[in-house]
Amino acid sequence: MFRFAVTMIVFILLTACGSVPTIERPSEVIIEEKPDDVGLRLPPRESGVQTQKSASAVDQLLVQANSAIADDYLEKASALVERAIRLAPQDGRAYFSLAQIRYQQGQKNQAKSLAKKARALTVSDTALLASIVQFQKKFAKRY
Amino acid sequence: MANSTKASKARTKKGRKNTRVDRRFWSPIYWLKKIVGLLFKPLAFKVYLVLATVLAAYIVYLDATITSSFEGKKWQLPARVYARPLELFEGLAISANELEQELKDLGYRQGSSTRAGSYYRSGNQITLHSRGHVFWDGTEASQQARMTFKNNELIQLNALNKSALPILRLEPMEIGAIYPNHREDRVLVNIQEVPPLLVAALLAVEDHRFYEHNGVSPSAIARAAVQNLKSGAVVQGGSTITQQLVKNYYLTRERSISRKVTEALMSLLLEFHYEKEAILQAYLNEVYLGQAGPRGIHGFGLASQHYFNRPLAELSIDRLALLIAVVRGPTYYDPWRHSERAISRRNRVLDILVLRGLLTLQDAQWAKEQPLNLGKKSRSQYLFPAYIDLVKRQLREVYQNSDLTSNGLKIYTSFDPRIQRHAEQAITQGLAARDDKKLQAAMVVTQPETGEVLAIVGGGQPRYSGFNRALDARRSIGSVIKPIVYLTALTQADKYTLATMIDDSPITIETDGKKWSPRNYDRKDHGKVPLVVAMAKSYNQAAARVGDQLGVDAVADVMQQLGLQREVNRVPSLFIGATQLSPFEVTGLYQTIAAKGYRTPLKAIRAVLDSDNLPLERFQYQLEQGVEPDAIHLIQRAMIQVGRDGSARSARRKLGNDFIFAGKTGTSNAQRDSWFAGFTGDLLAVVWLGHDDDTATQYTGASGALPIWTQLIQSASRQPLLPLASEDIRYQWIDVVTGRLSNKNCLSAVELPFIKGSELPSTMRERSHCSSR
Repeated sequence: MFRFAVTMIVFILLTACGSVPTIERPSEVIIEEKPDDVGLRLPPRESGVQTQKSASAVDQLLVQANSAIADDYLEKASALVERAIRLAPQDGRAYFSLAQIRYQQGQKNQAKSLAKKARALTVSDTALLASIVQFQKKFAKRY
Repeated sequence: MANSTKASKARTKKGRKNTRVDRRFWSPIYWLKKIVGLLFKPLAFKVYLVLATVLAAYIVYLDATITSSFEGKKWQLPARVYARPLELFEGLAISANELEQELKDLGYRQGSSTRAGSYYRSGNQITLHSRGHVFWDGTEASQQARMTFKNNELIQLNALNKSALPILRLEPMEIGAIYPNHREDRVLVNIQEVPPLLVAALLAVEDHRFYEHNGVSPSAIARAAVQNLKSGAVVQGGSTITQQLVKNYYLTRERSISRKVTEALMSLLLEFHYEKEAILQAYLNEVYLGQAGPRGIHGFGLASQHYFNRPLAELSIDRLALLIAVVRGPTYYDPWRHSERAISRRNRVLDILVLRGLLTLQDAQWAKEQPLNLGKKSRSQYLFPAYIDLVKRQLREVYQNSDLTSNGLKIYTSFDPRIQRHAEQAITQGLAARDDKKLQAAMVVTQPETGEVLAIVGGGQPRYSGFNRALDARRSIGSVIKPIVYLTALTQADKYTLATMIDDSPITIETDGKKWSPRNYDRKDHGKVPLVVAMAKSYNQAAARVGDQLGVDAVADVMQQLGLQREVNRVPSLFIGATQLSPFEVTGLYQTIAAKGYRTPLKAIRAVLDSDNLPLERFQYQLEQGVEPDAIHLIQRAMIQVGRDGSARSARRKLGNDFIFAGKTGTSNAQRDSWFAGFTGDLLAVVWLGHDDDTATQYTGASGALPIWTQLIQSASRQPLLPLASEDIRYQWIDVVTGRLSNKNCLSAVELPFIKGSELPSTMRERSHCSSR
């Protein structure tokens, strides 16, 4: 008896698990199978396809830019980061680097706009996102 | 009687005296005595002194002329304009064929990769030896690298010396120059960089006693005179290299004794002041070596590029000999027009080199067996006139014309030869396919995020300069304006969403007593439709109604926010594009939409170096928030729908379902103008078609400009559009018939973005609903 009861409960649970809730459906509506090409779901926000492919080249340029910043060659650093942006125009890191350079160059409005764009482009890199948010907060406090 | 005898004696005496004078007149001794006598007369001394003073003053003047112009900047150098350098890295969307084409354009030798400026291809693998180049941000060293390609992508990049090579930047292609009025063109070379064989050969052929004379070589003059007398014509010149330099650099082509004297004096002075090496270097850069249209080819540096499309340092013996051959007569020995003469003269040069011990017989024999090996002859002064036109205009905002035509500036641009080629093909093939000889076209292509201008086509014949329609043809933009009208609405998220129902019934707008009643292109009314549909289907009545609700000022203000510099006519007909803008201005508007609302000026120039490769000017990437990104995200989605289900769906059929793009067609009254403006992940392009005289064409935006745009994107674009939504964007499935929430499986369901707070209230019933249609 106990075995039968357990079997029934498991069966009921499994059935429930595999079913779809019944939806109140107006009688006049017929749900048609939609051809692939009518509706459009855009790629997910996290896709980031364009940034991955050029990552090592962008890394290289950002490293060179950091070195130029350390030597106080800000305009050279800026040129290197702009190269990185051309290689990967959807890579938030490059925009954030440029925002920091512009900030050091005293171009506050540019720094602000670039940081905003960097943030808009940064999706999955939480560490970078945190850095951008911190930069923006610091920026907001001062200006 | 006595009188007559006297007269007779007198006549006889006079006659004798005349006979004596005649005889003396022909005697050199008489004249020598006479001159010496005159010279030593007190009055003659004074004349002599005056002459000597005049001569001395003249020499001082010549000396000043030489020293003032020979030191420092010797020539007016044109500004040279360069394309973008190709940056190679793993993941770059480029095929082996495309890289090979780029290398050929740069004059790389095929077959091996042993020397700089050469490459070797084996299937999908290319091994190259780059040349290196000085850029604004530093020097790119020459590299030997191997690249592997797969499916139009560079998948592997390795340095041959095993060091890490994440990125390799090739030298940029020269795409034009801005010349001084005298049209002399040259590429300066330093004598240290010139192949020693070229210098040795030049001296052997033109002036083998160069290091022995002082500017003038009497023995060479005598030898030439004898040769010329023997042959009865001018077959040999006696001018030294120094004299040739003086003649070309300081003097006119006049042939007179006084000019020859001046030439000799100046040559002596030049040699007195300057080292032989300096004179030789000046000669290498000054000598006239050919003509390219109105442009004079001066110096060996440019001649090497002109004849062989590669730097001097990379020339083989036969090519060096040909350059030396041309020195004697660039027109007479023009290798393109008189190849046999040129070969014969080249071989004569090779013989002289053997004679002087500069070349072995075997090497000379090999060189003689070579054809002329000329590079591709440039068809016009500017290969890409429309683009160079933009470069000049943008440069003139910073530099004076004299700086551009004389200081040898190096202008680095974002011009992309690959994109330009595809753009030109799309335009020329597009026009050829249409039976309308008057039809003209223009195209502007940019990078959607950075606003860099990649290519421009100014007319149906892209390589001919003339009216630059891309920049100067201001034409009615028609429905190309509609994304801006709806964008203005979508910035008011509390009032408008993509699902807001817009009435497309007839409308009359009255302004200052004037009534305006736009009609739809198909002359039909469509009732109430969601905003996204009104936009995708390009309904005029709906656009006019929304515009009327917003006000003409609001729409015009958004145009300014998107970057339009020109003030538009603020009348209601603006809502359906009754305003005239150039393709370049339309590109500017769409650029801000493509760049997520960040306005960035369209720019062609990246940086400027001076003639010594020192950084002079850089045109920074600048951006400014024009319109809120969330509203932009919404309008981008509506523009994508134009290609999915709207007026540009023919492009989708060609590009494929997965290749997402956003854009808008435009057609002005009576089909005078046909537009398409749109963007993908890596390209933004605006295409215009129409007649220069503004008469009607038979093309709409969809049938005229769109196929040309599609061809460009099909051949040149590699990244579909991937719009990124902010955290404040929510997606809902909407029925595009009713504008209400829908079950996602319904035939008319589309997933649309909403700005947070503007979403449609969700109920279980509506999410399951499909409209009956």
